[in-house]
Amino acid sequence: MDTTNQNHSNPDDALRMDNASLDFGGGAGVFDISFSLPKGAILGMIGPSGCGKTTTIRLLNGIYKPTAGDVQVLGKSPSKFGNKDRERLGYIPQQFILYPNLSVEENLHFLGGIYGMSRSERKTKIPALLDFVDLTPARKRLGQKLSGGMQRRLMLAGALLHDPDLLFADEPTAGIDPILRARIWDNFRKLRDQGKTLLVTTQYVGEAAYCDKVAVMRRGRMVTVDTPEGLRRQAMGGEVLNIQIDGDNVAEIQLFLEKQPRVKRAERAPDNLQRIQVYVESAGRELPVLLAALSEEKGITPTVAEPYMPPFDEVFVRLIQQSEASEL
Amino acid sequence: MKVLIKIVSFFLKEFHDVRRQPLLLLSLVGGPLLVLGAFGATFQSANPFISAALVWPEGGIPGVDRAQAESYINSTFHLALSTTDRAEAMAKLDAGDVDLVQIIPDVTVMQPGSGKRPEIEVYSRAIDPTVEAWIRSISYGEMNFINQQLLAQEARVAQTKAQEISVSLDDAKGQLLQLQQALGGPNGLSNQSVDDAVSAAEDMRSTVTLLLNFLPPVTQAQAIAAPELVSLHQDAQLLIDEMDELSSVLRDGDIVSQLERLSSSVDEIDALNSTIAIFVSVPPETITSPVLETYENLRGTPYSMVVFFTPAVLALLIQQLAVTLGALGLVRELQMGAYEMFRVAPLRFAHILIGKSLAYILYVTVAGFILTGVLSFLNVPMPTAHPIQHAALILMLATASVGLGFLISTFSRTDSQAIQLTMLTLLLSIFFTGFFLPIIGFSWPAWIIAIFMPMTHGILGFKDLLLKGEGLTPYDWWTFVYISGLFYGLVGLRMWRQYRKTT
Repeated sequence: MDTTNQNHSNPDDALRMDNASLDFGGGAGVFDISFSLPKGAILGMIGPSGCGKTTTIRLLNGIYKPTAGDVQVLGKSPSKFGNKDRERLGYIPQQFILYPNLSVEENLHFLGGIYGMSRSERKTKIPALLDFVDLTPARKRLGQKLSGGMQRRLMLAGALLHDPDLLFADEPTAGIDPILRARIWDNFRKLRDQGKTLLVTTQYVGEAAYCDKVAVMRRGRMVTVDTPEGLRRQAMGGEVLNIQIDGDNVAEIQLFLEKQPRVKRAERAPDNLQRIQVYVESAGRELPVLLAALSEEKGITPTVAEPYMPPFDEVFVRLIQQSEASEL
Repeated sequence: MKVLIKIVSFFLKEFHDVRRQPLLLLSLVGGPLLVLGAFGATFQSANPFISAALVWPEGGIPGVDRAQAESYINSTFHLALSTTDRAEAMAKLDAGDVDLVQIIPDVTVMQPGSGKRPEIEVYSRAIDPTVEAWIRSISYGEMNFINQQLLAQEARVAQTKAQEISVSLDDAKGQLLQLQQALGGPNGLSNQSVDDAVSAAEDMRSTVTLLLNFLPPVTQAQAIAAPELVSLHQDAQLLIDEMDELSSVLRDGDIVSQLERLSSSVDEIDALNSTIAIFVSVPPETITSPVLETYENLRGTPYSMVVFFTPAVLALLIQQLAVTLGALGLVRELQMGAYEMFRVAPLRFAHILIGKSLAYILYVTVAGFILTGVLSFLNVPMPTAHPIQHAALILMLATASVGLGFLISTFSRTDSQAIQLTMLTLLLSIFFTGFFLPIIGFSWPAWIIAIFMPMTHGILGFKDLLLKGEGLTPYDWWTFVYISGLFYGLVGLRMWRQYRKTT
């Protein structure tokens, strides 16, 4: 999977932005966004509110036109999209949650209709989609009677009804509980497995784990784009081992570990002073080496010795901090 | 085919959306029905209600019956007080118990020849210009009523005097005939006889002069409508001249000329008597009010105020229903964020506009049919002569009004803004469409507003169809086409750029 910023066209790319900017003035907008996403992948876009995620989506779906740089979606500039191109896109806007006075089925019929689907086509596809998003029992229920999670799943079904190749979902999991969020991400991954490309924005940093590729945004700029694992490595400066020692010589052990070859640094964990976090290039390769060194040279067997998978909250905070530091 | 599917999708979406809001339907259709019903059930008069106090002179007015005057006032005002006490009436006015005080002058104490005319004093504290105009108009009518009563009384007195003089004339005629006989006899006239005859002629001259003083003056209108009065004036003057001549001839003339003059004088007395006989037989009202009014409504009887205003109310209700739906139609989805999705979808704004319009026009047209049916309960004639045109007028009015609503929607960012602009449209409609004030009473800027308000043309059309039973002209239909085209064109222009605009 291509996860690097590129400046050359690739026919397998579903999305690509090359130094794309949209300057609203007064510092607002997005600036120098560059990334590409191959077909059949999920790109998660993470960042705080107002960081430019929605603006980026609008640049990609043709609502906005960049003031600088280039945007290509399915091999074409969105500003030149015709009806056929638009039929290949699905879109779940952040704000719109369909019509409260229409039933689930009526909402879906409407959405299919605006894509020009005949009634018979819609009648064929709607039951399968309702099954897919688990809304079949609620098909006659009015939009206003649906829970927040059901409304989001209805939006998802609506965006998929015309069988798009590319789905933009702007914060589809906002304001819903973790279980429902997980179900929605299940749906997204099933779609990805069917060969569809998805761009999903979210404020929930943990959802980065569901993506094939994650873009971190801050103040209108893309801090980085990488796989979830790649982001961890970027944030932590490599991989991390957690080594917990019983006894009062933790400081001595920390110093010992820090002096080992291929160890970048060793730190006391802020939440547990008996634990040492060891930063290495490859956790799998270094763990047995370090355990052997501790045993042979210090006669110590740690009570805990394992690779540490920092949560994405921590990863995100570190990446943002690094970005801020680089600006200074 | 896909275009049709997209348009139908919007049509069905709006259709179901409105259908699922029974309260909205109730307020949009039931509300106007209730308003229409309340209008018909409670409307009594377009005239202002004015409570009046009448101050009648203690001595009354000769020839004017107080009860008749009170009845006359009660026919236009509500006579709350009839008194002879001016202070009491003015106190009521000051206290706000009455809106108007009318003080009738005591004409009996006016000095003849003073050059002053008695005045009916009218006092009010009106703040409403229409009420004041109404008071002044009605007071002027009352003044004419009293004047006529006084003149009729004067005519009656003149007729009585004329009858008395007629008797005197017969006596004078007898004297002249005797003189004539004596003059034809062998002894002729003695000096004493001549003196008696001259005296008789002068007496008659004075009597006839007195009659002239009693007669009402001759106006041009009376000369046409009451020629007997003119004849009386002329004959009386002739007799006065004749008596002058007779006196002169009796003193200085020869016997032949005296005989001729006596014969001529007798003829003049006969002529005047004949004229008096005719004059006293004419009703006094004919002499004082020579011109009468005849009026005929060639359509038959006029409609009641309720029926007359109902077509305007129908046009207002249809327009406002359509404007409200249209005004909320675009802005509501703008607020919901639906346009974001529409702009990504393979949709043109025209699909949205046409689909929504069709749904709203359908609802408004059905509401218009229901309202028309309700009109029959208010005794409004049904458009049996032109039912298709009536349906078409509702459809055209609905179409133009939905277009106006959409235009409002394009200038609104929120529901409340759209409602505010809709209320502004309502005010414009009430003042500048001929709803109750004729357009011709305004200067030209108001006419421009009137031309572009669908309701102006709706009122005219519904009055033609329902009240006159007449069909609309091609000009009327084209007006709706032009207005609708203008509104939808402007909506398209404003939204087309915004809809596909990429920043």
